[in-house]
Amino acid sequence: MAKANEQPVMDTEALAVIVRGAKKHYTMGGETVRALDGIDLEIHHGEYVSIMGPSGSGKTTLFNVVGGLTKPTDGQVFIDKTDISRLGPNELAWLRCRKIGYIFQTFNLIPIMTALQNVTLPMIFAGMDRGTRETKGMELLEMVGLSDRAAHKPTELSGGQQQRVAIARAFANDPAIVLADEPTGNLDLKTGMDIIQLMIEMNRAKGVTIMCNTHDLKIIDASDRIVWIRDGRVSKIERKEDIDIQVGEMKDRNTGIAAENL
Amino acid sequence: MSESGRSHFPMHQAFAFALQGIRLRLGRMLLVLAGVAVAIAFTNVLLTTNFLFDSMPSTTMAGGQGLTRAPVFRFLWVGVALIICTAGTLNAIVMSVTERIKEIGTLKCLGSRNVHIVQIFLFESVLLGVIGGILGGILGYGAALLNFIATVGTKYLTESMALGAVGYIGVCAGISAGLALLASVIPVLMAAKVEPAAAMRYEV
Repeated sequence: MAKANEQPVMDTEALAVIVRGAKKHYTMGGETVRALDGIDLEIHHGEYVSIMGPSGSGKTTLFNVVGGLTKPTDGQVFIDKTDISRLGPNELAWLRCRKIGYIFQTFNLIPIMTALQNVTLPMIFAGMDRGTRETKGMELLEMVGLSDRAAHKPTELSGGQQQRVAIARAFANDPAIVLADEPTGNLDLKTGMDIIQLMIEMNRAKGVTIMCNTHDLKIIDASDRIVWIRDGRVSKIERKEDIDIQVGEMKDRNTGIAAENL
Repeated sequence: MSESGRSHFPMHQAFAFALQGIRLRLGRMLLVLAGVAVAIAFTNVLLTTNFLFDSMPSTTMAGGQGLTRAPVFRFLWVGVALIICTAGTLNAIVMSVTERIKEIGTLKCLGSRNVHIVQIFLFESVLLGVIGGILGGILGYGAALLNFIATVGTKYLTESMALGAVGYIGVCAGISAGLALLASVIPVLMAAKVEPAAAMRYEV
């Protein structure tokens, strides 16, 4: 897997995501809320980036803006060299379908569909034929360890299993990037660990870029880089190498990062 | 697969989503269906009665038997019933959209275009309309025929009259489908306007 970490100078070919001066302002009760206040961020192909920050720091807004789920008030977002702020609704739909996989805190599976149907749904949108769809869907369910649950509806699955299905669905069309918004937020500690482990495995096995919002410190270990967000701005970017030590510190006592994070 | 293109969503998939939408809300949908059927039945009683009256060998004879053409004001009453049942359908589809906002948001995240979402709810609405229309049409046909037999007797009822009146069931299904289509304009626009980011945070 090509990690661009060795190259300090920007190489746009190696970038899956470029965010330039992204701003998102809302007006609420006559006051302007600056959910994003000028974010600059670059994510390399195959990288696993965690976005950390307290609640209300703008993590989810960043997720929405990078995922093409909402338009930034200002600034640009490139996914695989495509400027998504310039796309029309149908082009945006196609981009979401082919280039981006989404994993949500609340799983968001389609309740009336089985696990396999949920996983193959993005492939329907991509125009894949039924046979290919089902073979690939089963492969993905196999990867997330749920091939024996293919015919189960979401209500018949546990939270962790539902999130596994959602992960398989996110990888359905071999996206350029998978975005996860607090994927472990609704899960218990052990299940959350398993889900993180699975996301790392998928990242390594498929070489797919992952950007994961979290305030789950366990994810630090998994990340190539951690981007700290505060008040809609990037406050700090750390590389994995630098973090190992700090994780040790944090485990000893809740100082340093933990204080800043929580 | 190509770098640029358009996302697909076959009709039968949209239809399956629409069917599931009705199935999950079956109790409420049956009420709406009953409302539509009754309003359409009233419509068809008038339409069929007039048809039978006009098909009699002589209208004076029909009048002598106590059968009259439905007066215009009755059609106005039926019009009111149709407006009410359309409002009922509108309400049902609006509920269906709001209850499924997260689902709509998810579909949009996975690559569905607005037109695909619109399709689902149009199918749902028109399906209600057509089924309600056919049921109501049959009901109205039966009622009009019984009324005719009760007032005029079977003597003047020819096979061609009875068969000719069946066509009005189709007319009823058409009217009902048209009204359902009208009722779905607002909810369908609502569904198309859903911004996926907002839909994901939406709580019913």
